[in-house]
Amino acid sequence: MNEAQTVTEQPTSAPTDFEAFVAARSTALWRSAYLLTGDRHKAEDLLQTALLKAWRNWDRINRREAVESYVRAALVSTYTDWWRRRWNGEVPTGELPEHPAAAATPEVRHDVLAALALLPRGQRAVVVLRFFDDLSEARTAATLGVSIGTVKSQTARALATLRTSPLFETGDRHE
Amino acid sequence: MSETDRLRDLLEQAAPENPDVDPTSRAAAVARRGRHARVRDRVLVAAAAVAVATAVTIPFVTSDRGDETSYPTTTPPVAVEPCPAGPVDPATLGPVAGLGEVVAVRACPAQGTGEALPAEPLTGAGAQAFAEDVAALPGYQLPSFCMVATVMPEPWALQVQTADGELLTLGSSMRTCSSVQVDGVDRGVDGVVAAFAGNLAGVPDELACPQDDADAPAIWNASFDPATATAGILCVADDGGAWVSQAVLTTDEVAGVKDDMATNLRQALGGACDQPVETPRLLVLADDAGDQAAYVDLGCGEGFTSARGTWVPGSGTLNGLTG
Repeated sequence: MNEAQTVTEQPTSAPTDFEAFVAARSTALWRSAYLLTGDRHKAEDLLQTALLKAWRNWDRINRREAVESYVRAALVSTYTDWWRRRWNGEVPTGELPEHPAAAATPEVRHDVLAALALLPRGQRAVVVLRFFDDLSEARTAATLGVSIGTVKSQTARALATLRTSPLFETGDRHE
Repeated sequence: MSETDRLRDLLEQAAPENPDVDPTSRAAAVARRGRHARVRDRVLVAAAAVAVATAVTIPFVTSDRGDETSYPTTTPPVAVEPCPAGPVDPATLGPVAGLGEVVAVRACPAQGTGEALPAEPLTGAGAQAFAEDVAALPGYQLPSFCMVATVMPEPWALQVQTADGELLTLGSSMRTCSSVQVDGVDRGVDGVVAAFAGNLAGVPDELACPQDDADAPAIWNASFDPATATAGILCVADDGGAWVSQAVLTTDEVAGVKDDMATNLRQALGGACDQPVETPRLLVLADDAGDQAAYVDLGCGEGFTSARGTWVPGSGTLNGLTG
C-alpha cells in the first residue's frame, strides 16, 4: 500500500531540499492525484500545481517533516477548488488514456475510476486519503481542514455510494 | 476480505505504478513555473503601484530581466476587438514576430471540437502579464510522454491586441505536445494556454459564499496566509445546506480578524464534532490576488476549522457580524 512517509533529511539549500523531496515522494503523490482526477496528464498538472504552492512557500514551511502534509493538503485543496473550474464534468469513459507499460488491468482501472466519479469531490478526496494514502481519520481531517466527524460522515456516504458498483459485489460487506 | 480492504486493493490496482514524468523533470518544471509566476506577480504588483501613484507623470518599473517598462498613470478603457466572423483554422496560423505592448487577449472559436477557453478577455495589467509570461517561456522541448501518449486534438486560438491596434493570433490544434513560435522561439502550447487561463484566474471575482455542500466547502487552502487577507464574507448554512451570505466584512473588520488570527489561530485541529449541526457558519477570506480560504464553525464550540488549524475568535472579534 502507499504508506505515507515523511522527509527527515535537511539539506542546506532550498532547491536541493525541494528536489530531494520531489524525488522521494512525488511518485506516490502522483498516484494519489491520479485517483483524484482519473487521468495521467491531469494528475501531473494537479501535482505540479500543488508542488508549486510548496515551492513558492518553501522558506515558510518551518518543519521539513511537514512538507508532505503541506503538499498533500495543497493537492486535495487544489483538486476541490480550482480544479473543478478547468475540468468540471470529468467522467471516465472508454477513451481513458492507458500507458503502454501500465501493469494494472484496464477493466478494473476503468471500473474503479467510474465508481470514484460517482462521488462528490470532497468524498472522493476522503476515500483516496483514507484508503489509498492510509491516513488515519485524524490526519485526513487535518489534511482536508475538517473535523473528524465530517471525515466519518463523508466516508460513510462514499462507501454507501461505492457499494452500488459491481466491483464490490464479490467482497463481504463487513468492516 | 472486508469491504474497506477490498476498496484498498482496488485503489492500489487502479493507480498506475509510474507517471510519465520523472521526478527530476517534474522538479525542474515546478521551479520553472514558479519563476514565471514570480515574474507575473512582480508585473502585477508594479502595475498596481503605478495605478495609485497618480502624482507621478510617467513612473518606471524594472522587470525581472532588468529592462525598463513604462506604464501610463491611468489606464484608458480598452475596446477589445471582436473575434473573426468564423472559427479560426489553427493550420493557417504562422509564427508571431513578437507580442510587444499587449492591451487585450481573448480566446476565439477555433475549428474542431474541444473544451472552449474562457470567453472573458484579459485586459490591462493582466494582458501585459500574459505577454511577459509567454516571453518567459523557455524554448520548447517535446516531453518524453508525448512519444508514447495518444493526445487528442483540442484546438484553441487567442487573439492578441497590441497598443498600436495590431491583431495577432496564436493557436494550435493541440493543447499539449506541441508548440507555437513567438519572437523566433518555439513556446509550448500548454504554457501559452496556461498563461492566458492563469492570468484570467488571477483577476479576483466578487467575493461570495461558495456553492457547495455545507459540510464540504471547496476552498480549503493550506497555502493561504490570513495575514494577506484583504476581504472577507461570513456565510451561514440555510435549511437546504447551501451557504448564504450573512455579512460582508468591512476593511476594519478584516483587519480585526487578521489581528485576532495572528494570536488565536492554532495548528491543532478541534476534536470530533458528531452532533447534529443546525446553523454552521463559514468565514471566507480572500487576498488581492483572488486566492481564498475557508474557516468553518460547525457549532461544536471549537471555533472555526481551516486547512491551517483552528481559530477560536477572541472576545468581540465577530461581534456585530453574528449578532
